[in-house]
Amino acid sequence: MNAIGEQTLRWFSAESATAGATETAGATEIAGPDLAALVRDYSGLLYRVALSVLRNPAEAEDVVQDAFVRVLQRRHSLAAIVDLRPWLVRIAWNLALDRARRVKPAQMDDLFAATLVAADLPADRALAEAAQIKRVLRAMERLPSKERQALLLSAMHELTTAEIAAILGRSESSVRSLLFRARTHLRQRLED
Amino acid sequence: MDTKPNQPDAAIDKTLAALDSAPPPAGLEARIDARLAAQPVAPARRDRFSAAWWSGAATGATVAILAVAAVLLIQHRTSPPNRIAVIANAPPAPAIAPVNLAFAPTPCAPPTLLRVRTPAAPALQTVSSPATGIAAPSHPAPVLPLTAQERELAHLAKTADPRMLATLTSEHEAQMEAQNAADFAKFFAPPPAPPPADTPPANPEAAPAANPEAIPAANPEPGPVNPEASPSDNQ
Repeated sequence: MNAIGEQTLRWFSAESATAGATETAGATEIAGPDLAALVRDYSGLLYRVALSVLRNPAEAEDVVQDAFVRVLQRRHSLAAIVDLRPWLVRIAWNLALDRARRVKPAQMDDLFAATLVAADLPADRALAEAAQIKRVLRAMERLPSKERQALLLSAMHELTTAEIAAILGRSESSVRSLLFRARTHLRQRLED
Repeated sequence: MDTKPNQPDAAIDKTLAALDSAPPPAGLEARIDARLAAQPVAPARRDRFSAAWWSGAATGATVAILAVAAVLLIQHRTSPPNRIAVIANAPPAPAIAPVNLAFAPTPCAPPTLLRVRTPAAPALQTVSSPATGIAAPSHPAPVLPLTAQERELAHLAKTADPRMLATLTSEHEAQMEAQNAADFAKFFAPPPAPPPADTPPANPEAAPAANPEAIPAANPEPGPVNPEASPSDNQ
């Protein structure tokens, strides 16, 4: 955490104290989660979620910032949210999908595939691996949208099937079915 | 990296793992914090819709509902007596008069005649008590043919002089009969005795005895003293 994060944390604490002073005596102030802690804990996950959709680091970072701005605007209702992680991922997911309508992810496949390859690999193997990742990404683009979305979210190891179902607004069995069909279709396309 | 193009599952897993392990750019958290710090502080929604605001709104809504319910209840309770008062204060209509169904239907007169002779006060009293008036069964008198005497009486009631109708009492009729009898006896009574013949009249032309035909000519026909008082001639 840096100085700006601590400043934001102090600003939130001051605002909560002011709001609490206006409350009547005996009324309990609803304590929300620390926004700085949310940034620290979930910014990486949100970035990867946005990057899997947009395949553009700059666009993915903008989506993460917009997501936390949305969280800031709804800071008074954070205490009522039971599970913050699916809620945050869903915000970033929807923002990324909206932005993906303007940005074509396939245009960034070459550069994006190169960034995904491990840096310590030899050049020839790095090129081969980048080509393979690019091929898989293009095959994923031809999948049905629901199957592709379930497959991209399943790549995040922090998210459980229940959380993916909550993000997509489906049941867990439906998510499992989507994942099975996505892998089957993707395998068939890659074998062609 | 032993992944071959004919091993699609391995390629899929490797791609998904690469997506999951993508490192965030350096300074991401700092930029996010700077963006959040630059955001203007929006007015808290809780300030506008606080617990006090909701409690006040709920109280106002409850008071309004109770007021409306009270007004409706008062109107519901006061409306039936108002309707009865309007009916009781209304002028008695002739059609309401046959409500006096407490009387047994009498075949001596038609309902029209009963309607004329029925006083208005009992009809009003009957209407003012809606419980008995409404609950009473409706049995109109059957229309029977009039007898000859009833027809004459009805004709008389329509055409005769009210003063003559007022004399249709037993006392007045007995008095008239007695007067007629007295007039009859007076008319056929024997004439008074003539004066003696040796007494000369002062005026020979004025002496009725000198003209024997003058006596029946004075009253050629027997008649009542007061013709107007005799109902028998008119009948």
